[in-house]
Formats: sequence, C-alpha cells, structure tokens
Amino acid sequence: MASEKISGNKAMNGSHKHNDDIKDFVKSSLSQFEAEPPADLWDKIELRMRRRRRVVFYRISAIAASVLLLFSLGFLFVPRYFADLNQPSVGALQKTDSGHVQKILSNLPSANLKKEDDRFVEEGLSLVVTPGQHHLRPLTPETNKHSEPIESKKNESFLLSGENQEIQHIQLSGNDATNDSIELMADKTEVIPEKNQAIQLLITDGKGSLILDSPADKKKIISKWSMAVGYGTTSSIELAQKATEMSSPAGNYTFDAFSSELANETLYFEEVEATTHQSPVTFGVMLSRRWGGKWNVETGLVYTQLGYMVKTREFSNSYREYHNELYYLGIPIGVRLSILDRKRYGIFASQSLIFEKGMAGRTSIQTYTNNVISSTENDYLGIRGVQISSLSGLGAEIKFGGNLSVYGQTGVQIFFLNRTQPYNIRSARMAWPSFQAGLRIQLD
Amino acid sequence: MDEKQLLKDCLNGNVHAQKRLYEMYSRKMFGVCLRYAADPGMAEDFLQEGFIKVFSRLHSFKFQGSFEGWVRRIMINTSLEMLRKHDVLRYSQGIDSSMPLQDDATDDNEAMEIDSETLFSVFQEMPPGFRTVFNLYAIEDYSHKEIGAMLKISEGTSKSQYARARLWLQKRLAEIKL
Repeated sequence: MASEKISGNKAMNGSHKHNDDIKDFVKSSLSQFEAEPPADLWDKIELRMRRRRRVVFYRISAIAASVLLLFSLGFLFVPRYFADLNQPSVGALQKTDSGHVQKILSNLPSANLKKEDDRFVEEGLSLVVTPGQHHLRPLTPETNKHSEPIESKKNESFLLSGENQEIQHIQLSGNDATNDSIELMADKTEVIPEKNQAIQLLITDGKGSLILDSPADKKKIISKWSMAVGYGTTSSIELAQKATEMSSPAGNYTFDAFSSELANETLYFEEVEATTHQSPVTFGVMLSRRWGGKWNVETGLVYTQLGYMVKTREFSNSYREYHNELYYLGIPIGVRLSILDRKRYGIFASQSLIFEKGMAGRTSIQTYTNNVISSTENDYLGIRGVQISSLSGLGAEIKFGGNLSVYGQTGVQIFFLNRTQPYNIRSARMAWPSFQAGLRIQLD
Repeated sequence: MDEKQLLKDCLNGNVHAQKRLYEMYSRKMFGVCLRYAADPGMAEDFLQEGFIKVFSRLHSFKFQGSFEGWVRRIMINTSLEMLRKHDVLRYSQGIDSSMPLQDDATDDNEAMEIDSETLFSVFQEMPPGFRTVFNLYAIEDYSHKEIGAMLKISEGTSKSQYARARLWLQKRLAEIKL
C-alpha cells in the first residue's frame, strides 16, 4: 500500500505545481480527530446485539415449532382416519337377523366392509357374500313393503327399480365350481343416489339378510379433503467465473446484511474462482379441497433450504470458502386440475403461487493457508424481503387402494423479486425446473 | 487490562468486556465516522453498525497486527457501505463536477494557519464524493487504485476527484481567511 501511495502522490504532483502540503496538513490535523459519541449509543448497540441473538434463536425455534405443529396435525388426522377404517360402519350395514348374517359379517374383514362401503358411495358396490340363493330387492321405505325379492342367478344382470326412480344396474357374478363366493357389483353412475335419496339393498340367503345402506348424507362427496406430504428439488449448478452476479454493479448485494461481506470482499479484495450452488431441497405439507369434479384448491406450508459455496482467492497461498445456507418457510396457494382420474392412476396439472420468507441464514467462512484450514467463522444472519414464485407442473399419481396415493410432478418454477433476497441460486437464473414427489391421503 | 484478555472476554460474550472495548475505541472511531458522514446523526449510525460488526466478527481477528487498525478498517468499510446504501456517493454533487483541475493563485500555506476544529467543519461541508476520496487517499493512505476498486470508479477518476477535492478545500479555506 505504501508504494501505491507514493505512486499516487507522484501522479498528483504531476497534475499541479505544488507539493501536496494540504494533504499533509489535513492528515496531521484530522487523522487523530476524536469526538465523544452520544451517551446512549452503547445502550443501543447492546440492545441490538441482544435482539440479534434472540432473533436467531426465535427463527430457529419458529422453524422447529412449525415442523412440530405440522407433524402434530398429521398425527391428529391420520389416527382418526385409520380408526375409522377399523370400525365397521354401523350406518352402512345393518343386521336384520342373527345367525347366518352374523356369519356373513364375520367372514368379511371390517376394514374391507368400510372400504367396500366407500366404494359403494364412490363408484359402486362390491360385496362378497356367502354362496346360496340370493335375493335382492330395494328397501327404500316406499318400495320395501311391496317389492318382491328378486332371485339372483350367477353372471346375470338385474335392473332394480324403486318407486323413487333410481335405476340400479346390479350384476351378480360367482363361480359355481368353487361355489365359495358371489360378487355383487353395481355400476358407479347408477348407484349414486339422487339428492337426499338413500339406497338400501337387501341381500338374503333364506336364513338371514343383510341390508346395505347408503345414507343420504354420504352421497356424492368423493373425498373432498386430502393431505399431501411432499419433497421437491431441482438441479444444482456450478458457475466457474471471476465476475459472479454477486459483484456485478447491478446487484445490490453489498447492501444486504447476509450477502454484503462476501460481496464487499469479492468486490475489493478477493477474486472469485468458482461458485457452486447445491440442489435446493424442499419439504412441504399440502392440504387440498376438491372443488367441483376435477378441480382442487390447495395450500400448505413448505420449507426450503438453499445452499452455495463461493471459493475466493486473495493471495497465491491462501484461499477462502464461503459456505452459505438460507432457510425459507413458504405458503403456496394453488389449484390442481385432474386431467385423468382412473381407479388406479391419475394425471393432473397444477399451478400455484408461493410466498416465501427467509427465516435465517447461516454463513461459514473457512480460510485455507497452504491448503490447510487456518480459521473458520460461523454466523447466523437475518434474511430480508419476500420471495414470490410461480410453479407450473404436470404430474401423475398411482393409487394404492384405500385413500393413499403416491404422486410425482415435474414443472417450472419462476422466481420474482429476486433483488429483495440475498444472493442465492435463484439470483443466478429466474426459471428453474422443479421435481416433486410425495404421498397423498384422502381425508374423508 | 491486557487487550488480548479483553478480546477473549468479549469473544466469550462478556458484556462488561464488550462495553470496555467500546469505551476504549468509541471516541477515535466516532472521529473516523464523522469524517465520512454528512452529519453527526449519520456518523452515529455508522458507528453503531460498525461496532455491531466488530463484535460479531471478533472471532476472525487473528491477534496479528494492530487491533485498532482492524477496527478502523471495519468502520471505514461500514461507512462506505452505508454511504453507497443511501446512494450518497452516486448522486452526490462533485463526482461528475466540471471544476477545473488546475490550481489557481491560492497557496497551500494559507491553509496551514487554520485550527483543526475549523478545518473539520470545512471538511464536513465538502461534497460527499470529494470528501470520501479525500479521506481515503489523504488520511487513510489508500492508493487511487484501491480507492477505484472500493468506490467502483476508475483509478483516473479517483485521481481527478482528489485533485478537485483538494482545490475545493484550498478555495474554501482561503475564503475563511478572508
């Protein structure tokens, strides 16, 4: 620096005729200039330092609490759901006689009864009963008294007509050779009752009877609510260049609490050798509600972790690695359109807007001298601003019976308001591919 | 108290030690901040932000070289950072001034009779762009190349800004003497 100063002086002396006496005078007068700062300044500094420590603690606690809350909500919902599965549906099945009907009931796993009953509501009736002579008749209050039982024959279709106009297409099928079961099936569209209309079917084998009952309050509601637990990521990226986005004049990172140290160091002193961004990792819990036949409205909570490493060099025998991690919590709001919905699989498209707030950022600076680590500095800092992004995706799901399905989705996420955020992978490029996978549970 | 022990106590989060450290350097550093700031309120902000950084980065001080020099560098960098944040440098009068670079009749020696308080008040009147370059070159001993990098200006611009600042100061001091 001293030699630079001399050359600087020479340059200046060349531009005017005087020696630089005024420089020496000002330096001697003002270099040791001192002044008493305001008396309360220390209190302000102490308060800010205390608050800074508290903010970091609260942010970490908030993340932990949110995760705990989500898990708690999950445990609240899921056991209730499985408890329902394990209870025979009293409203759906009524025993009108003891004896053989009891046997029929006990032959059927209770979970299966519930499952079949759901299917009755959703897409038809499929109930296994013991072989023998079976009679079907509708048991709506108006028809119960007058309808005669219909004798069933295997592999034969029946049209059951009640006075209240619904027509149910029932087919009995079974294998005479084994003669161990007969399957009763009803067409989905025809078995769903009309408005406020309950359906009752009587199955009898001469010794007892079983009433399969679809109450009016279970009509048409096909799993309105669902919850999904998902994981998402995108590709990593390595930028091997001297002038990163970080030091570009357009970037505002020298004024950002999280990025300013790295930005200033790389702007004035250190040269960037490489910047490596890790794949962002996202975990989320989504709650969605069916809206109409094909649309779902969904929202939830997502946690995202971004990380990158910048390697810089100041002197030939030493270099630094800045390891930075940013932690975000976000709320997505979006819609999902069911393009194809089959019994075992489905295809959907989704569009959502995600609002993310950085909860905290961790920076770790490792200094290497002669390739040996000589110091490490760690710090937690706040993240300003809000990141908004748009996620458009196309996905598929595979249904595993019951209400559980696995889904995968690919799409494009575009990030807005990047300048409000510390430097991260999203600063390097606005649009990123997005890959997500998860489990979805129908809640009702 | 031994400075090294004081710094270790600060690192361990001892608030009394931190306050002691603040008391040791606050007057000197407030003087530094005042030279860069447009007014005492701004200087107070610089000093506050600077000390927050000093305490949060204390673990990176290697006990090699002068601790005061290390603190001073943080104060200067913080001041520049905050000046840029408020766009004081970009939009300040003087950066693109068309003032001539040539000296006129004023003699440097005229300035030498001014007391340091008057000099400081004149110094604070200087346009921020001039004052920053003058501070860095004349008082902190940075080279024009370094100043160019710090302020995102060319080395030549730094030289010309310094020459204009010097001329501005000469004229202003001459006016005061009259």
